[in-house]
Amino acid sequence: MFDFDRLDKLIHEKGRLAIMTLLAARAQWPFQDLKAELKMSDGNLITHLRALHQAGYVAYRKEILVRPQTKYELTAKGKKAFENYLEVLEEMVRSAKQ
Amino acid sequence: MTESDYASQQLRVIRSLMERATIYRSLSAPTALVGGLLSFGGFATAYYSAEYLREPFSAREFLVLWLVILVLTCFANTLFLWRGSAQRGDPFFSPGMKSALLSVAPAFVSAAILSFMIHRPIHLAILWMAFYGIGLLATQQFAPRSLIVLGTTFFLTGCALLVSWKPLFMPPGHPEPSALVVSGIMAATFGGYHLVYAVAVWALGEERAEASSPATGS
Repeated sequence: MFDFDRLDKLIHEKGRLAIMTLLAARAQWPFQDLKAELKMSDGNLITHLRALHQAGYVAYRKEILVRPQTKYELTAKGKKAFENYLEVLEEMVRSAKQ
Repeated sequence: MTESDYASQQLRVIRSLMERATIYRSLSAPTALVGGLLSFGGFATAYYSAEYLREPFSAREFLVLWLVILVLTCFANTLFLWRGSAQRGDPFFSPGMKSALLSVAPAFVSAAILSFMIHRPIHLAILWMAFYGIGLLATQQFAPRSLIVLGTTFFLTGCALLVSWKPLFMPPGHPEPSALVVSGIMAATFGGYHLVYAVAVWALGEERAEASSPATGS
């Protein structure tokens, strides 16, 4: 029987997993692009990003180019946590095949 | 659903999201700079031949000149892409590159075939612009915004020239535009647009941002 406790509960939630996946695929994401890609409400996205930020998985910085925008990216801790999460999933698949 | 099914499904979702989010820049800023400068060099060559040697380029020479520029630019692009992938430690034939090649292939192969069936320089220029634009737009699922803008600009310019070249460049009683005039159009578009693209990419820092991402392929 596989130990589900090994899956990072913070990442495992559907919305936060999608956010982590996008941030792992591209270096920086403006808030509006994340919102458009994930089709989430502002409030929902902010709540998830705040949780990930508090865990030290996501960093953000505010920029003013043409207009003010907040860009999000994974921290080293976030990258590691995401990689671990993938490894656990892959292990689940492998162990079932054996 | 078993644990394994569940894990496989999660991994599929993650892969699909990552593929959607991955950016691949099939035309790097340094390549655009090289291609832009070579285009102006092509026009200078045509101008020198027509004005100083008094031997204006024929349609065939026009074709050969711009094919040479294309080959040199493609060679430069290959070098820059290879250097970029080596710096990131990615394989040269990354999934992004394969997707880009498959996307641009129909437009570029069609243009290549038609190029040997068309004999008027102005028609060749319109064909290359429109199909180059279509090729770049075919990568829009994973291309950065600047490349989509470049593709749209080429496509619209090609379409605009298609409907306006006769009244613009061949008013009644005038011969059709010479290879020199068309080379000027090529320099303004393939030269000018690419230089603007290269400057915009550098100014916006797009390539630096993509280079720090683990899954991009420019």
